[in-house]
Amino acid sequence: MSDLSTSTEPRTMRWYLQPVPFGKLILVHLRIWRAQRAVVAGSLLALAAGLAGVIAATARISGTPTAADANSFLTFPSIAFSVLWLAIGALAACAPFKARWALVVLTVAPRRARWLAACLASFLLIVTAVTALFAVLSIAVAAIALTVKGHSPAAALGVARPAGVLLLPVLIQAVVGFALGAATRSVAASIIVGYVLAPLAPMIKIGSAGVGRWLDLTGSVAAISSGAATDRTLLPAVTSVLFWVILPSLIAWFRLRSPIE
Amino acid sequence: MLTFENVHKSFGSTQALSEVSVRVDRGTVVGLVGHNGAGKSTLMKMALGLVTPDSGEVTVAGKPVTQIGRFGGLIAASFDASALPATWTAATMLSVAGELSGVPSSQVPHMLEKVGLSAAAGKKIGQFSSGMRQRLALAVALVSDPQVLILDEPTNALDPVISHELRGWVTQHAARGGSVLISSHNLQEVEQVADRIVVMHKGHVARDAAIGELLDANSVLVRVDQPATLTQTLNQLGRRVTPLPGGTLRVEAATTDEVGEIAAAQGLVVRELSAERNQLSDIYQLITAEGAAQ
Repeated sequence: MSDLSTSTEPRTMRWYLQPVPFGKLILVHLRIWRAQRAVVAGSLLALAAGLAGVIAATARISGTPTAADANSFLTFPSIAFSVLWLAIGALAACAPFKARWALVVLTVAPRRARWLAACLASFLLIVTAVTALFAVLSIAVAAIALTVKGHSPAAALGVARPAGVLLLPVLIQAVVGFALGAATRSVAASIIVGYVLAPLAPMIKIGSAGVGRWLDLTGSVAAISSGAATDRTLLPAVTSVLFWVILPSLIAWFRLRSPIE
Repeated sequence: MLTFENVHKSFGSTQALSEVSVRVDRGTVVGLVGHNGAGKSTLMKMALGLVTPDSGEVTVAGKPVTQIGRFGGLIAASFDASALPATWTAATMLSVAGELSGVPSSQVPHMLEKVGLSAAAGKKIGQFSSGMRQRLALAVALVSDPQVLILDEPTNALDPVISHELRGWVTQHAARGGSVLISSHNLQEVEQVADRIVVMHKGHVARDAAIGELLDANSVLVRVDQPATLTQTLNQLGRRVTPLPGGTLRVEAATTDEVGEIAAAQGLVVRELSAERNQLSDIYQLITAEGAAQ
């Protein structure tokens, strides 16, 4: 007969009462994301869309470009790149429930809110890494495209500045997508809310007061990331982002209390 | 080690569990049997906090399950194997469970070997047969060598060899002081491993008894060369005797010692003498029928 005992150290009840360290949860989830095709495929798609945009932008250059011109190389591609992260965030949040690995993790690490926070944190690490990779590849692709067109590749360094500020809108989109996914546990519903209902929110009026600007996710992300938000517009912009993060997060937290299948 | 104390749970208007109290002591195997929808899986999921009771308390090693921060090495379960993530490999699956449980990664190949999945370590679970999935689910439950083992229908789709191995693991686990709560529709299998049986019916505990108490029929089967002589003597002693096909006699309200001594005193040659045991399936049907009638 097989002996199934494994060589774990004897543990005290105090050890069991403490949650799995957050860092370990994040490391485990980084391993999990590698096994999740949807998140890997979504990241590659965002990279591909962004880089295709860089190539398209550099292809339209006429005359000798300057580093300042290169800023515009990344304007359109960065929008394509960042917008996709809302859908990828929703995919990531739905994955534990659709692929049913929530059950695998929670039967070992039962603190649910902590688990979901680790899921998000590990996902944001991936978002950050992919965005950094996108920034580096954008400079390289722009340099190659400029060289192919017979220009000096030095202008491609102008891409670095918009690439540097790209992280914030990407992270906002990813967090909003993740929160919507965790709340709805449906990628389709998250996409409808994120890409259809959220852009319609600025049209909301209560009486004669336009409350839409306090819920304008798209405009707020653009204003925050471009640094164009003024003292007067910053508060509504931050409020709208928090609204689209906190409300779905509360729903997600409430739904976490239901039985895990 | 694992206790459910007066646990209630409803899903909407459906009462899944009502006044359920069950103990799984150290070194014992408790078999949980009942029809589909009797509440077995709900009860088992409560042991790991996957389902929260509306009232009552679930404790593991004396602590409410809600206070426990990590289960690795304390309690583990093998649930629905068909629900394992299809895009993961067997090695990823075990590594994740092992890492979270604080088990060295060196244990992963060891455990895969134990359940006969070494060759499939790098294969996607989506490509597994149902038997392979079941073995992997078992490996996940066993990898942290938990003090309490929860096995929900563990032998579904398992071949007879690995089913036999599993029964060995379960009894071995209990012999080392572990506790096991096992559910199965295969009553013969439960009978083979369980020290106690809990029969659930419509969310209630219909019967909770030691296996011996439940199956002991309090009667003896005896076969002798002259059954008429023995029957007459036993009848004179007030024992009820029923002749069975093949010359065997069933003696009610008697022990093997008593019947053996009586036969010896008569100078009869005893060919067969054994205590009659009920089949768990018969008892189960009786209990659930009683439950349905109430």
